[in-house]
Amino acid sequence: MSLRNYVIRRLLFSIPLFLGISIILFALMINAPADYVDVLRLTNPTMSPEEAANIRHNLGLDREPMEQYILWLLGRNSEVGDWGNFFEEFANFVIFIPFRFIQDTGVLDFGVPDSNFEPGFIFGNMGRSFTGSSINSIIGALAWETIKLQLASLLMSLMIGIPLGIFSARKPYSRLDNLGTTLALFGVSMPVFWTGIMFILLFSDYKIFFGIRFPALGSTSYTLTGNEGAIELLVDELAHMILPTIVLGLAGTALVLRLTRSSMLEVLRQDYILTARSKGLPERLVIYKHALRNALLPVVTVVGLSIGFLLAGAALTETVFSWPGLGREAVARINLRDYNFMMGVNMLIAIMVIVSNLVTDITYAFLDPRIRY
Amino acid sequence: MTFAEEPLLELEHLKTQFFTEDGVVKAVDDVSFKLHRGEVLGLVGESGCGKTITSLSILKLVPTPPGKIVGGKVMFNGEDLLELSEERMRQIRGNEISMIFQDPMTSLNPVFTVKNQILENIKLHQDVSEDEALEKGIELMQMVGIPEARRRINDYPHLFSGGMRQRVMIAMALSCNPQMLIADEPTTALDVTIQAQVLDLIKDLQEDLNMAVLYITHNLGVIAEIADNVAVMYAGNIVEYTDVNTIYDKPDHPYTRALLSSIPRMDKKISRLGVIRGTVPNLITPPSGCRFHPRCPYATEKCSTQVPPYVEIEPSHFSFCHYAATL
Ligand SMILES: Nc1ncnc2c1ncn2[C@@H]1O[C@H](COP(=O)(O)OP(=O)(O)OP(=O)(O)O)[C@@H](O)[C@H]1O
Ligand SMILES: [Mg+2]
Repeated sequence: MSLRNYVIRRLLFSIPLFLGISIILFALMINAPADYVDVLRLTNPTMSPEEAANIRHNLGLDREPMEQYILWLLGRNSEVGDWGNFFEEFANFVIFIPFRFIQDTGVLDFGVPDSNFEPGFIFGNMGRSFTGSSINSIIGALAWETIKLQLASLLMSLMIGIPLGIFSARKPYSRLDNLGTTLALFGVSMPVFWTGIMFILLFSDYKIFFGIRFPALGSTSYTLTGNEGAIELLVDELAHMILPTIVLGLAGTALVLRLTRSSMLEVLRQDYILTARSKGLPERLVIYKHALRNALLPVVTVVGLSIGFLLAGAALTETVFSWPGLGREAVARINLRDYNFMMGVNMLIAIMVIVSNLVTDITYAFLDPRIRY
Repeated sequence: MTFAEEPLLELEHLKTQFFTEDGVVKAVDDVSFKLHRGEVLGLVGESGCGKTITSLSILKLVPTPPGKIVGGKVMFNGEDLLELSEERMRQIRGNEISMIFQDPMTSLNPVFTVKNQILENIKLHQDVSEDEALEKGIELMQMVGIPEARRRINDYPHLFSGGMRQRVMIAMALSCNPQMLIADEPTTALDVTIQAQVLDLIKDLQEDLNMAVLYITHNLGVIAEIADNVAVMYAGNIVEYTDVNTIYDKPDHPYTRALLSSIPRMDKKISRLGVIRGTVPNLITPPSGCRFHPRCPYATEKCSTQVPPYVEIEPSHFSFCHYAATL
């Protein structure tokens, strides 16, 4: 099978997977005890039952679960109730998509009427959060902050974890190996909220690093006036990234170090390493050519799969550092029982996981010629 | 067969040990032998007797730690390899002395093409262009009998069968016309019919290129086919050394005899195959005196207390036994 067919087949297979995930998620949300309105009533005990019912009705929470799911998936009209009417509007909307698109670019005017049909998830619209704003735009605004932090910490874990792992494997039980594996154990065992707070105390409050106070709150200084130059803004942004990146990257570094070390130890025992040495190859080539490529296979798998959880993975770190990212927002929205928002974020994570799985498999096939699609 | 006076390789009292938690494994203990240009020396012995470690010691590739060459000399072309720098050793490995291994399924790197792995060796030791190296690589593949070499050189190892992979290993090992080839049980992991083919190939190439070969095996039948001289190894010692005819006709050491009586032969009628009593000794606390004495039918008091001498029973026939030539 060619690579292209393989990718197409995998993508097609992911459609039912996707629907399955969305149904399960939706069922979980709908069956969770207490909904958005219950949470509102906690903060506003004087809300009358009529008022509550009214809000539920406006949000569509009083509909049948199945009905809610279809509206979320396909789209909603301000006036639904009659399914015949709904499907007619849905069909109209779908048929006119290309024309409306061209008309919107201003090239041609087909006279397509404005539709008050709000497209659903399959059109890439995650809908509105219960607080009224567009979920697409909330996520759009927050995602970059999360991705930025995650990529930086991923880079850190690869750049530190792989070389240290190689070194540890070449000199097992040496002093540096013992230090590295102990720190790695520490890194994977300590919860992020603890290391996060320790880092804030040590590097921000007590300024133990040459008296420098590292920023530990948010992703930019709140004292910015708007008159700063580009360089100044960049420095400010990078400075804010330092502590959260390290805290978030510690566990990843530890994981990569341990993986690289054990897999390298395994590979160095293989016969083909002896073959490489018996050819007279310098140790550098034996390690970095013959051993590393094989040893990195499990690392690629783990890192590839963890990229799928990139959007969700930083919730704790973001909370500790008040980082305006998606993870922290998601936690806040869970507390609000903002199901629409949660559906959006969860589905986005599901997409990322499916895609990163696919990308990992393809990368793996490139690295290991024995793998067939 | 007689060879020129000056040997190509001469091991003198080589000792290699492993320092493990359980104790010191005396894997190679006082091993000496000579190998001449164009000679095939068979090194025979049971599993675990130290054959592989002897050959790895020659190339200074004993895994360190826990292994260490603790004494002796490895004279190659008049130089003691044990004294050479790692850098000089690298110029010898794969160039003057090559090695092929037991399991061709695992001795090629799965993630690089055969071309990459053969050409790597050529380019490392010879000053050639990429194109010249490629032509040489294809030529080598043809020489070892791989069909469609020009196309197949681009394949990955997993696309070759076991026998073909061993041929690739041989092509790689011979790519720099080494003076000496160490073949560590190169046919053990292969099917019987393929074994014969690979053995013939090594024999033919050895004759064509006039290489010295250290052929390691635990199969005395194979030795008869290929070797000029034989060294029999037992528990880290060479117990008998002689030419290939003498070993079958007039074996001296009780261990060699026991080995020979345990294989079926065409030329002699034997009612039952012999069995060597007892088990292979562990090399951390080997038996005192002669290491074979607990299993030897002729053993006396003396054998358990005194290390036997190397007795030259006839010219170039050595036996490591107190009762050499008398049993
Ligand atoms: N890394 C190691 N650590 C400890 N002991 C070792 C190590 N490698 C080999 N030995 C010991 O050295 C001795 C000789 O091993 P060697 O591999 O040379 O045997 P061999 O004659 O090649 O056997 P085989 O026919 O099974 O290949 C064995 O007793 C083995 O236990
Ligand atoms: Mg061996």
